[in-house]
Amino acid sequence: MPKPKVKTGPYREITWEAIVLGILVGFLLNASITYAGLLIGFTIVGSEIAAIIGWGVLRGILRRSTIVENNINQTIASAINNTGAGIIFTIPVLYLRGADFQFLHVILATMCGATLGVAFIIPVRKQMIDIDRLRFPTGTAVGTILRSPGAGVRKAVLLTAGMGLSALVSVGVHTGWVPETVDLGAFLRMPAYFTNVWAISLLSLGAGFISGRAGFAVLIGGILAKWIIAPLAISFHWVPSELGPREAVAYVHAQMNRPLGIGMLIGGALTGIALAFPSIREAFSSLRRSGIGARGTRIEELSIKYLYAAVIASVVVLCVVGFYSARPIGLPRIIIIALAGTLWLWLAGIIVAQCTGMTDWSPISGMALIAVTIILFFAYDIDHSTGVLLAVLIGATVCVAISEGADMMADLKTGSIVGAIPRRQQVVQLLVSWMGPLVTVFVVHVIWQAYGFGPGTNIAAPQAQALDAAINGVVGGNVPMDKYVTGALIGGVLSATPIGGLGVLVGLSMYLPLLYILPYGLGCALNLVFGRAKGSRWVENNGIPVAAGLIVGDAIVGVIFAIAIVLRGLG
Amino acid sequence: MNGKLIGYFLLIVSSITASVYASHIPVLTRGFSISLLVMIFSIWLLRRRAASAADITDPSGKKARFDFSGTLESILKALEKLLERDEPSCAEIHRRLDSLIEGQLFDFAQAREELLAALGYGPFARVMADFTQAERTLNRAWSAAVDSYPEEALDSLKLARELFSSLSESLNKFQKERAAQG
Repeated sequence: MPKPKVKTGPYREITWEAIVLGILVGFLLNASITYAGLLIGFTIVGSEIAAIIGWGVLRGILRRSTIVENNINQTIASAINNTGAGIIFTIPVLYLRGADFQFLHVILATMCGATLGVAFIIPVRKQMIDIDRLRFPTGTAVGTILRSPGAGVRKAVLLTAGMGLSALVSVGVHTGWVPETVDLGAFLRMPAYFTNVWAISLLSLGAGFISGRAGFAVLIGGILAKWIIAPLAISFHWVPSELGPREAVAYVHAQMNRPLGIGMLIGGALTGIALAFPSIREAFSSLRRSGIGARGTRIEELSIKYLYAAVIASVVVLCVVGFYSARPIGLPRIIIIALAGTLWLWLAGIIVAQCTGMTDWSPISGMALIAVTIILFFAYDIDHSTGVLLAVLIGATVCVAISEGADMMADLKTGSIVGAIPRRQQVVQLLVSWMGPLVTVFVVHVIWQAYGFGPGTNIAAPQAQALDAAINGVVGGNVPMDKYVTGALIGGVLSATPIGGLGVLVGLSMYLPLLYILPYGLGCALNLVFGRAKGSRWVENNGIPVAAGLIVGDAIVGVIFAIAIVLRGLG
Repeated sequence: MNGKLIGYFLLIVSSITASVYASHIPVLTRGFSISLLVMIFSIWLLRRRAASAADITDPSGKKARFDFSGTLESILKALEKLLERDEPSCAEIHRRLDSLIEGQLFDFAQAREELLAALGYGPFARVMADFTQAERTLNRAWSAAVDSYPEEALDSLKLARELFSSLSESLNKFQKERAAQG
């Protein structure tokens, strides 16, 4: 067997080939997943497919790529792609409500959101990845793909087997020959209000396996919400009597579990931040120190002065956009709103990044709802329509920011696995993240002009409709503040247990769909069972590659079908 | 062990009752408040149990479970041995690092909860941050070896050796300080 050719010169990392490919793949993923997201209501990250395309093009065709260069490619592609979720959950509301808004304002606000999201999350990299060593299942899966050339035949076979199985099942689900869900509740003849529906989602199973024990708490919240609170509330007649079983379950979810869960999430996160404050302070100190770099050492982190500059510039632009889009509200109040929105954006970014790190789930919709509620509190009484416009604009900014922040952390986790220098990933992400909103907003506008979306159209925009309904609830005075507060107290106390982040995990899963949490929880359980039976090293060397393959296979098929939907729509 | 079981039992029951009382519209405040107080009591019980659970700074080593200092010494020896060789090949670097990453580094990371209990949060954070940085540097050496870049692999190995050496000194210092506190 011929020896591989020894290469000289600098180790290829940030190269023009990686940048150009990352941007092109990012644009393609963004456009197709935006369309699919408006249609079906959820989006796909796409880092895995970017990594595989990188192997095919950079290593296969150009024949000179490295592992860390491909990491830069997938960092850029996912940075551009990930803004899609934040925008399609919020901006379509403006179209649905017939709001009078400027295209340019939306683009500038969401670009600021992307920059703020990256700039705010960078300082907590050390806490989340180096100290807490959060799993970031998708980030771990992508790292497994990037390392595959050197991981040995056995791991490559396991990874491929996982991908193949997951892709096959996903194709079956998308084409209809495999059911999307299995209703175990009906099979076991359980009462209709006792939800026991399982999604056929090997992606969820794989993510749960990689999360392991840490993610097991996600199952607890789902069981609490759907198997304890809902049946008890219905049995005790705490719901309107005229509702049927399924409507009653939906009522309990919307009026009880969801606000309680959001409150737990926030309370749990605040407690976690308070308990970890000494190490967060240490992380900021080391960020100030590591921007300088001692002689002979590598500068690992982006200097904090660039982050300050990015934040200040973005907040100023946000204030200007707020002023020009919501003049009736007045400049002093707009500045307060922009600062309040930015503060919430910072906190929500940390919460979502922590959730993604522990479980792979991102409670973006819950955080957007809080952002909209906060802004409406400040702005609605002055001018109703302008208040809603500003709330949605800031809500979109927050959503884009927290999506970008969670993506940055997942990419940095991947980078840690392959030995990338964090500063280089941070630089490229800051430089390209603004491109994503440009693509997504343009695609949303084109789709609106061509097809329309919302009730009575073929493009449902379900998440935006849900936010629109929530806004109507808020302006109608229906803010469940008692649930937020009591949830925050419960979540805060839970997070003070020796099990770190318990309040966040339980709160998160209280309002996520149980049908995906159940296979996720099964994955966590399998990790624990195999860990006990075979040892943690066996799980790491055998289970993780298979689980990574399950995530990757499902995601690839999801993207392919998204592109097919776009092409069919254009045809 | 009984205290831990009681703590978790109380926590589970009180969390459920607190959530149920909170879900009523409006919140059933009396039931919620009592449940919340029981939750807080159970947390106190659990944290008290956790604080006395593990102690690896016992100078006699009798209570020690995972040998963090010994593991770091072993990693350093492995790196010294690799760097002593005259221009090790990428294949050799790849093979040796595979063994190290899946062996001692994995074991060190897996045992970090013991380290937290032993050192307290501040020193634990410093040690883990430095460990993960050193581990990342070794991962870079691994990637460079797989990609056939021997210069980068060797530079990263040398940097990793310095980082692990500095980490070993820090850990020993923190353990002595903790032992002196008592």
